Amino acid sequence: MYCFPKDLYTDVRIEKINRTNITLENFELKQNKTRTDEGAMIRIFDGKRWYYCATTDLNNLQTEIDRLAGLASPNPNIKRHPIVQKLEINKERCLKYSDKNNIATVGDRLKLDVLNSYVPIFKQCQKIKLSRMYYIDKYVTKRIISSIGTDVTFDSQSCCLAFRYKLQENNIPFQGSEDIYAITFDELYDHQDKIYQTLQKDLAYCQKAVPVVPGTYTCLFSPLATGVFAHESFGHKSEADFMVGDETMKNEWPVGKKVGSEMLNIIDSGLIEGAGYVPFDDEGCKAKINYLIKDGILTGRLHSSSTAALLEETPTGNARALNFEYEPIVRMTTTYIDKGSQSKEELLDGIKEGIYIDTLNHGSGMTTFTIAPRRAYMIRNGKLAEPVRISVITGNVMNTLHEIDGISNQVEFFSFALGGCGKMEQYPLPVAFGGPYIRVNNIQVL
Amino acid sequence: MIKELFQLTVKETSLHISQSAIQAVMKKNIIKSGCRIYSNGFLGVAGTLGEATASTWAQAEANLARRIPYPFEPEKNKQRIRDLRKLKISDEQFCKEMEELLNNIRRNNPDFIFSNKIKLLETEIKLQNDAGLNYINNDLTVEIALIIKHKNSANIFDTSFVHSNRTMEKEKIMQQIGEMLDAYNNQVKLPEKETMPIIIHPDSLLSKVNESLNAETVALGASLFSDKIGCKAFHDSLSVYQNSTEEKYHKPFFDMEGVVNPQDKVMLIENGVILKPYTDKKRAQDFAFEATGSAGGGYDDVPSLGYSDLSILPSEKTLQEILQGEYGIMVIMASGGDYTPEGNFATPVQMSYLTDGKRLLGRLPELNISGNLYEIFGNDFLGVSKDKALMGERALVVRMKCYR
Repeated sequence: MYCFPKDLYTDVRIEKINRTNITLENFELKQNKTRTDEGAMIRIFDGKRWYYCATTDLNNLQTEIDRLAGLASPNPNIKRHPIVQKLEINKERCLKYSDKNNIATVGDRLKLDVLNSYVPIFKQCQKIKLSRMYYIDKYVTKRIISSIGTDVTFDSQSCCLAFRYKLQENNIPFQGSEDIYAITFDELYDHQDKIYQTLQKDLAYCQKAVPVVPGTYTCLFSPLATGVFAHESFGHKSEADFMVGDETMKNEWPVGKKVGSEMLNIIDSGLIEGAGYVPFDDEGCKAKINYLIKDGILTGRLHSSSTAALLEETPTGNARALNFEYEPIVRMTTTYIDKGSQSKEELLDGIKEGIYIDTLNHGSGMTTFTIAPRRAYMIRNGKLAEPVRISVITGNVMNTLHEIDGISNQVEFFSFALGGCGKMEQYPLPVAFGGPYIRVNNIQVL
Repeated sequence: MIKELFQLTVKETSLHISQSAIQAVMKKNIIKSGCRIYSNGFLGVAGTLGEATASTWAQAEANLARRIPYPFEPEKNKQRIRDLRKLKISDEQFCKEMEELLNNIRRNNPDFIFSNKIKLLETEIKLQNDAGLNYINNDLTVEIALIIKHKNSANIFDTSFVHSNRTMEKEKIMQQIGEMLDAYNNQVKLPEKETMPIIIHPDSLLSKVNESLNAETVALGASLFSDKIGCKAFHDSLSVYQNSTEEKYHKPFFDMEGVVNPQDKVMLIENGVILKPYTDKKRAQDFAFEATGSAGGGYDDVPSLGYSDLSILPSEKTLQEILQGEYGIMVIMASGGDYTPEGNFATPVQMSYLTDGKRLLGRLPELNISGNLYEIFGNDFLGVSKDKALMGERALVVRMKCYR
C-alpha cells in the first residue's frame, strides 16, 4: 500500500470519524450537524528520535512519508531496536459496528426525535431555569499499517444523550446533569424514569443542602465516585511514561510492592464496551486485561511500546491519541476497582459520622487526588442524613489506597457523554470508569 | 442569502521532551473550515477539515432545511487584519535554538528531569462573507510547557514551567527556571498564619465570576449575580473586562458572530460594580442587554453564547508593592479545586513557593487554600500586579485561608 522508507520504522494511522451533534437550548434547536472527518498520523522512528506528521491530505500520504523520512537518519539496525521489538505485529479486521447497528446509517430525523422525547420531563419542572439537551454520536474507523507488518482495521461507536440544567433554590444556582451512554441507537429510548429520578434527587438536594463543616471524614463513595477515584488516584500513577528514565520512581514503585489494602484490585482494560473500548491501541497493540493492583499489591503498569521497552516490561494496549492530530501516549481505557464482598448497607453501618459522595463535577489526580462532588450527604449513625455542599475532597494517593476498608459486591460501569480524561494537551479523551461502593477513611473534605 | 466562511489554520512545530532530551519532532498543518449560509432567518452550516469545497457549501445550503433559527444580520462591510506575528524563524532554526536552550537548562539544573513540550505555534483565524466582511487575526508564539521532577522525588512531577511569548527569550527563560529551581531546593515551612496573600493565575479564581456573568443565567435567575446587576458587589479596585486585545495569544479580535468591541475589550465589572453580563446577539436581543461580542462555538457550529475571556484590570503596583513587605504564597500548581454553588472556593495546592514579591524564598509543603467569592474579590482582594511576576503573567493577589 505504501512504500516504507528503508532502514526506518514507519507507521500510518488513518482515521475516519462520522459524527452527529444536535443541541436544544431551552428546548429550541440550536445545532444539528453531521460531519465526516478523515485524517492521518504518520510516525517515523530512526532509533534516536520520532518524527510525526498530522495531515488531512490522504491522497498524498506517500509524499508525506517521504518528506518525514528526509528528517530522519536511516538505521540498518532499526528492526532490532528495543522499541521496535516491543511493537506487536497484528493483522486483523475487527469491525463490530459496520453493519445493521451502524449509528452513521440512522437518519437525522430519528436522532432529533429521540432527543425530543425527553423534552417533556424538563418542561414540566418549573424549577429549571435553563437547559441544554444534547444528542451526540460518533462512529470511528481506524486503520494502522506499519513497516514491520502490522495491518489492523477496527471500529468503535457511541451514541449519547446528555442533559444539563440549572436549578435555583434559596438564591443558590445548582448545575444538574444526567447522561445516557449507548453503543446502539435503540438503547437510547425509554430512560425517562431514570432522568426523572435524577431530577427529583437534584431538586431535593438543592432545597436542603447546607455547607459542609470542613474536616477529615470517612467517606462512602458511590460506584461512580469509586470509578473516578480509581482513575484519578491510581490510574494516572500507573501510566508508565511518568516513570521513564527515573530511577527514584522505579525504586519507589517496584512491581510486587504493597500499595493498598488487601481487598483492593484495580484493573484497566480496553476490551469493555463503552467510552474506553479500544480493541487495538494507536500503535496497533491488542487490548488486554491489565491488573494494576491485585490484592493490594502493585501488579502492573500501563504501557506504550516505548515505555515498555525502556522499563523492560510488556506493552498493554494503552498507547492512545486524542485523534489523528496527536501522537499516541500512555492513557487509560476503562479503569475500575473490582468488587468486594460486602453490601452497601454493611458499608454504611460502619460509619458513625461520615459523608456519602453520590455524584461529582470533576476529578483530578497525580500525587494528590481530588474529586469535586455535585451531590453529597452526611452519614450519621449508619444512615444517610442531610445533603451537604462541598468544594472538593482530597487525599494523598498512596496513603488513601491503604485507607479503603470496605468494598461492596457489585461493579457498575460508567461512560460520560461529554468530557473525558485530560493529559497535557490531549483532552478530552474518552475513557470509562467503574467500581462498587467503597468506604475510605481519612478523606480531607474542604 | 449570505455566504460566510469561518476558517482556522494551525501550523505547529513541536518538540516532545522526555528525560530532558528531545524525543520527537512533530509538524502539523491543519485547516478547519466552517461554511455558513444565512437565509430568511435560518442558518445552514457545514464544516470540513481542509479548505471548503463546493460540496461543503452545498451541504451548508442543504442544511438550511434543518431550520435552525438565526434571526440576526451577519456583520457586513467591515474589514480588519490584525497581524500579531513578530518572530521570523524557520522551523529548522527554531528546533536548533530550542535544543540549545534545553541543553543549557539540563546542564544548569542537573538534579532535575524535564519533560513535555516546546512549540512554535502559528494561527490564522478568518471570518469572511460575501457582504463585505473580512476579518483576519494572525498570531505566532513560542509555547514552553515543561514539567519538572527532582531526581530524588517519587512524585510523578514536582513543579512546572510555563511560558508563552511572541518573541524568543532564552536568557530570561533560563534565569526564571534557575531561580525557581533554586527555590525548589530550599524547603520552607508554611508560616503559621490563618490567612496569607495568595499569588495565583486569575483564571484559577475567575471561573465563578465567568459562570455568573453569563447573560442567560443572569436573565433567567440562575446566576449568583441575577439580582446584582448594577450593584456594588466587590472591592473598589476590582474591574473585570472581556479581553480580546493583543495581550491574549491566538485570540481573535472578533467573536464567532463577527462582533468587535471598541479597543477590543468591554468592561463587565468596574470599581466593584457589576455593570452588565456578557452576551451574544441572541441574548442581547432576548433580554435587552448590551451586546458584548461573546459568541463562541466550534468552527462549524451555529454561534452561541460561550465563556467570556475575562481579565482583571491590573493595578499600578508591582507584586512587591502589593505585598507591602508581607510574605505571599505563589501558587504554581493547584489542581482539582472548585467553587460550591454558593461561591465557597477551596483547592489543594500541590506546588507553591514563598515569596516577598521580588524573590522566591523557598518551596512550601502541599497545602490547602479556601475563601468565599465575595470575600476573595471583596475585602480580601489585594490587586493584580502591573509586572508579569507569575511565570510571565500578571499575578492576582488575594488573601485566603491557608492550612495543611
